[in-house]
Amino acid sequence: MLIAQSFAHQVQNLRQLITFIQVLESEIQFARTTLPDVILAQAKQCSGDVGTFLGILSTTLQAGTGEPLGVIWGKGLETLSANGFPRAVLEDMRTLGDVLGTSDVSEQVKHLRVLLHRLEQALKLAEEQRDKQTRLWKYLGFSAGLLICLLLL
Amino acid sequence: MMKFLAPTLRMILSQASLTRLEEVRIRLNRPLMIKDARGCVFLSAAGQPCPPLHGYVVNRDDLDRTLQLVTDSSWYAWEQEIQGGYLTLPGGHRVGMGGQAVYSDGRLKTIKNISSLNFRQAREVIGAADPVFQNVMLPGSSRIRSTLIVSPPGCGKTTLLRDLARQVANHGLQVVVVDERSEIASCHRGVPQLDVGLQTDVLDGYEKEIGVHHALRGLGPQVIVTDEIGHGGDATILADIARSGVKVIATCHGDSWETLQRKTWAKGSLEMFELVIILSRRNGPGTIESVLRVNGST
Repeated sequence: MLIAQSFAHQVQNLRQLITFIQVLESEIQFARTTLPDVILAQAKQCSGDVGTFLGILSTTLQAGTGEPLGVIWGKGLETLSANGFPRAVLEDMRTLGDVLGTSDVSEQVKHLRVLLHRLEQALKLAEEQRDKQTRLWKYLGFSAGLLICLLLL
Repeated sequence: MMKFLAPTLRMILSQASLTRLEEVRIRLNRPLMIKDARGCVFLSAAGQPCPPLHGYVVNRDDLDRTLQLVTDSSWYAWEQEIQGGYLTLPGGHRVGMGGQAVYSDGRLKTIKNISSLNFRQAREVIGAADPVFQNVMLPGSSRIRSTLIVSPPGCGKTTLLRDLARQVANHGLQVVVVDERSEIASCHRGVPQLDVGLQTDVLDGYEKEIGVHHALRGLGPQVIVTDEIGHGGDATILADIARSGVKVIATCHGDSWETLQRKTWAKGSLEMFELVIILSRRNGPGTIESVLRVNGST
């Protein structure tokens, strides 16, 4: 049952991450909002692992040390890594961190769209695995119930 | 301005004794330099004036961290400013950039491989327009004369223009500043960082023609303030302002009214001005050489 729950958790995390990347894309493309502003606003809105990730980014950016965003982003990703994010997703996120904020709008949007595509694929896979696990545990539960009934008879 | 410098540079400058800081020059692999009332000074790692060879050598990390802080880790948010060669920081301070140009479709797209940054401290001179204000705004009335400020570069045209905008707006007139190069109000994220008056709207980064038309249609100005007229299309813009019954205060490169009138672009452009102020640097920037009533102004 715990395995099924962990898949459901992963689906929820990926959905939040996709929402964040979509907001980031819109804010960069249409409003030219700076990264610290977008991240701060989204950190307040997101809960769970993604919220913690954004919180770390926001706090470090506000500290004003001028640390490269790629480094700060990498530190934030450690939280996601510790919470069982798929390795492929983490690698894609790390790649984005290296280029985020370093080029013009059109290039930023291209990078974000590539990541979005990958995240959507990962979400689809996670949903399939979650459904499979849920079905399996439901079937096992039903079978166990049936077995108990037969034994009692 | 200091909080936009990399921590190492910030520490060096905090130890230095500065007298009216004007510039901080950060050049990759070269010694840190400042300009203040003493002139250009190289600084050691301890923040002390020193010969260039003993100066603190700026490294890639210093430059990259400073760039991160200046751009808020968001290069894309400043594309237009970067194409113009500088960014405006809170407080109106400016950061000029030197690097490698990237062109696309025949126009400058961005700058890459940034190798130098020049921080320029913003300095406004409140009261710079006091000696001429009574010529611009008629005493005891709310009427102003359309005014052209003329001088060679570096003589204080924009400083005078900004203070005129401030004073006119504070005397109850609705002023719109069309700030094509963000030099008048020094806006940061659209908010004026220098005092341009209580009743002033700023159109920051607008091309003159678009800005003037937006102002006339939407903001109901009594006075339009703009910098650096002197291009072919300016005659039409000035004519549109004149037709709307709005006054204008503008600046223009030149050294005298007579030479200005002989310029090709000036034909049909200068009739709307009633007052011309000529500036020079004879006694320092902002020296008022003459104030002329022109075009039959009373």
